[in-house]
Order: sequence, then C-alpha cells, then structure tokens
Amino acid sequence: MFKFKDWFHHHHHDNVQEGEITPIHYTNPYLIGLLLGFVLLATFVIMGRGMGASGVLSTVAAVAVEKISPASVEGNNFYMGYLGDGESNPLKNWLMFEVIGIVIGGFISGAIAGRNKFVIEKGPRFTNKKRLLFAFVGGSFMGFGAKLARGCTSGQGLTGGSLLSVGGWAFMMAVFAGAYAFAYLVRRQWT
Amino acid sequence: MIAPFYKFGYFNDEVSLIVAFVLGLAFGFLFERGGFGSGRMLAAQFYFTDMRVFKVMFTAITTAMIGLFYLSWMGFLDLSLVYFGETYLLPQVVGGLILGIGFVIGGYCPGTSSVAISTGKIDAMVYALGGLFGIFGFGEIFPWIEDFFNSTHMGKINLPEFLGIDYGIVLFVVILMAIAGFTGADWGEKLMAKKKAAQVKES
Amino acid sequence: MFLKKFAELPPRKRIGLVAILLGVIAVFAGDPTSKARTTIDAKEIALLSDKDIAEVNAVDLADWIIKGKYDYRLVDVRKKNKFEKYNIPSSENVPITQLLSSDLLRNEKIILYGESERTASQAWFLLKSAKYKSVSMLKGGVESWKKEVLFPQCTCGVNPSVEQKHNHNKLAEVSKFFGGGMQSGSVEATTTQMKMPTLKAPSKIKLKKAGGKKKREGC
Repeated sequence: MFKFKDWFHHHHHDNVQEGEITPIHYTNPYLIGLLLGFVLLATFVIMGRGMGASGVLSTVAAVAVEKISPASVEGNNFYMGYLGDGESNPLKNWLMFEVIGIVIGGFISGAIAGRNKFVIEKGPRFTNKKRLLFAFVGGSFMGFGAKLARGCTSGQGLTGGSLLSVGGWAFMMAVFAGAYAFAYLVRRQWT
Repeated sequence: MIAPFYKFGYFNDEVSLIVAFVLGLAFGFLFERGGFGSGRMLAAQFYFTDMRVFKVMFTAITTAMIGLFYLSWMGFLDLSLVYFGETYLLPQVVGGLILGIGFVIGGYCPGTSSVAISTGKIDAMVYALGGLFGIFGFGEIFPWIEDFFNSTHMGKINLPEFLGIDYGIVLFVVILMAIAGFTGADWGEKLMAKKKAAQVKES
Repeated sequence: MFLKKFAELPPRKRIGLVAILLGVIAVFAGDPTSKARTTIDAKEIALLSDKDIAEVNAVDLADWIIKGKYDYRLVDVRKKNKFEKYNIPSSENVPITQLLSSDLLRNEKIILYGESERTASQAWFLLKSAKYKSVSMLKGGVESWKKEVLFPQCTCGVNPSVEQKHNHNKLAEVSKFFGGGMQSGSVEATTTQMKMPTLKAPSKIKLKKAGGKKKREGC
C-alpha cells in the first residue's frame, strides 16, 4: 500500500527553485492524515488531552516579557496565566516538550529526505526581503489570532475538530475563510 | 474504562513529559513527510493547486473522531476525562479569520512553522518571531479586549449537542462531507494542473 | 465476491468505504458518552463487596477533615432538605438520582454517605457499575457520625490509662471542632436529647480546594 523505500530515498531536489513545486517526493497526504489521526488518537488515549502548538509561543512570550520588565506582567491576567504560580518553571510544561519533539521530528524527516537546507521559501516573482517582511507580518497576525481564538490549527483545529467542538469547527472554517479571502492579495508572493 | 491512562494515574507528570516528546516526534515527522515544512506547499492550498492542507487536516480529524467514538463506545476510553476546550464563539471566529490571514501572508501556522524552522526555512524563523510579536501585542492590549475575549461563552459544547442531533449521525455526516471534500479537492487539483499546463503551452 | 472487488479498489477508496461503514454503524450505536447503559463486572463488584475495603470510619473521616486532606470528594446522597438540615462539613449534596449526571469523575476518590448505610450502598453499586474507579462509603452513615464524632460516649473509667486518657481527650477535641460535645451517661438519653448542631460549624472549616494544582490543558 505504501512504499517504504520512498521514505528513505535521498532526494536532493530543491523544492524552492523558481517554478514548479514538486510534490512528488512528499508522502500521500491522505496517508499522512491517517497516521496523524492515529497519533492524535494516541494522545487522547494516553494523556486525555489533544495536541497544541501556539501555547508554547505564548509561554515564551510571557517568560520573555517577565524577564525584561516584571512590572508589566503584574495584574495582567493573560501573562499571569502562562507564568503559573511561581512554584515550577513555566517552561517545563507538556506543550513545550511536545513542540520540542515536533521540531526534532521534522528535522529527522527532513534529514532522511535530504530536504534540510537553509532557504527562504517564496514564489518566483518575489524578493527575499519582501518575503521576510511578509513572514513577520503574517506571523504577528498568527500570534494575535491564535491567542484570541485560544488556539491554533493544531489545537483548536485538529483537537477541537476531532472532538466535534463547536468552537473548534467554527475556528477552522474561519481560518480557511480568512486565508482564501487574502490569498488573491498576496498572490505575487507565492505564484 | 482504563483510558485516558494519565488521568487514571498509570504514570506520573515526569513521564508525561516524555510522552509529550515522543508524540511530538511522530507529529513533526509526519508533518515534514507530508510537505508541511514548506511554506510554498502550504500556501498552495489557497490557490487550489495543492490541497494537501485540507486533505491532511480533514483525514486526521475524521480518523481521530471515529477513533474517539468507538473507543468510548467500547468502554475503553472515558470521554468525560478527555480535556474539552470551552467554546467562546465570537473570539474564536475572529481569531480564526486573523490567523487565516496570517497563514496565507506568512505561509505557516504555529505547528508547521516548528517543522519548517527545523528544516532550515529562514522565513519560518522570521514568522515565529512575528508570532511572538503578535502575542506580545495581544498581551499588551489584553486589558482592553478582555471583555471581548471572554464573550459568547458557550461552555463545553459539541456539535451533536449544539445541533440536537445524535453523535453517531453527526459522525456519519462528517465522514460523508470529508469524502465529498476530498473528491472535490482531487478534482480541483487536476483542473488547476490542466490549466497550468495549457498556460505553459501557450507561452 | 465482494471481497475480491474490495481488494481491487485503490487503497484510498478502500479506506473511504471502511470509513463510511463505520459511520453507518455509528448512527445506530447510540451515545458513546452515556453512563446509563453499561456492562457490569459482577465478579469484581462481588469481590469488592466481600472485602471491607470500600468502607471509611467516621473517626478517620473526621481526622481527614481536620487535617485538611482534600484528595477525595465527600458526597451526601440524601435528599436536599436533609442535607440542608445537617451535613458533614466539606460534603457536597448529590442525591442518588443525580449521581450519574453530576460532575463526579471516574478517576476521583469518592466517599459516599447517607442517613444509614442503605442509600450509600445503593449509590456505591451505581457508581461502581458505571466504572467509577475509587468509591467508598462512610461506615454507618450520618448515624455513626453522630455517635462517634459529634457526640462520642465518654468511657470514663475509674483509673483511665495514659492511652485511654489520650484517646478521650482527642475525641473531645474532635467533637468540639465539629460543634458537638463529649457525652457522659447512657447512649439512648444522649442521642435523643442532643440537638444536632446548626450549620455554623461547617463554615468555620476552611478547605484547601483540590484544584490548587490546575494544569493547563489547552493549546
């Protein structure tokens, strides 16, 4: 049903050449989705919770703000929620370890496929500088939106979606709507 | 009912962190395998050329959803012990829209950016910095938007409750929608590929 | 014949068909979260019923309350009016009809009590059948709480030993803490004469809620 050889074959294809994106060396998305679903299910069964990612950024932000100016986190419910009660290191939480795993897991997969390379992803009609600016702006939108929605596509989307949470489904539809709405405006960046 | 194992005390907090790491490894590995470490690949979703974001997400959601249903039905998993987030409808919709905009402008979402960073994408690193900035901005204006943030609180409500339809029926409908969606996505991709081929021929 | 056709389909379609089949079955399967329908492990319940491990002494419970031990939930399964008349401090009222729809979780330590032992035993069986992991009953119910904690008998002999004196003082302290008092004299006279203390006593006890260690489980 799936060829294991493909997983370990070395591809030195640079997928960010100007021109076509070559999806042929990536695994079938349905298979990935199925396996991802199993991993998610395992998380539910073992931990009684789902996965997440944006919480880590929040924790890092809260810790950074606290280090830089402790006064501004006092009384701010948002930051205090991520810093905990001072008993344990706020960075020592489940999501942090999970995201560290995600980072390393991605690295391993990329290494096996020979895809690890310092590169700036963009379409053929865009400059690097512009791309990085857009990346930063997009990131800020993401950060703000993720906090407002209390999650991101991994947490609210995958986890909330599989639990059939009303908020999770509403969130997912909004994400797709927002992205499609703006796709035309930034088409020069990607195509 | 022996699952969720952690909630029934089969292992302690320290071990749960290791579990987190291992699950994260699998997650990240699969993400990169599926091409989610590439901003171009992810953005292609919104230009209809490669619909893998939709395919992966929906397959994963449907698989996990079916698994949750049946494991609970068999008396193996206690669903009432699984963490279920509270729904705050308006902030989640608005936040979703904003995140979606950020997704197509930046090319990533939090989970995929982690994978992209570890495979060397510099724009993903900048994206993550932008994310911190966005969160910082949120934190700073939080006192002013705190009321909105807590508005339209619907509690822990799921689709069957909300629609007043049986869980099993909702499950079935979601499966049908997923299959319909995938069929549409495949067809759409083929269409775009044909269009592109025709364009290339002309030039 | 169908299997042959099934095997010939591409893997994608095979999984899709399996998914549809699972969906159809789910439509008729009923609510997976329902606690009403359950399979009872008669053997396990019989074994547990045989041993006395599911019982808690009134004196032990009093000890835990005073010490502020909060790793359990004390549940009063009597009717609401009885609960409001008097309830053991730190208890919550969940009448037996509302037990399964309450917010009691299967992984919590639950101690049940009623007027005597009957309602608590029935509630115990109910929860155990619904696969609640840790359920115990207060031995003797409110009756024994009255007799052993609130109004304990004074076993004042002629020459009490050091240990007897120590126990006596301890019981006196405990009963005072809950608003009762040590009794001397015959058993019948005391339990009928003494009025049950008003609810002022329970509110004096400050309980450290178990939710002190709230862990973030969102994303």
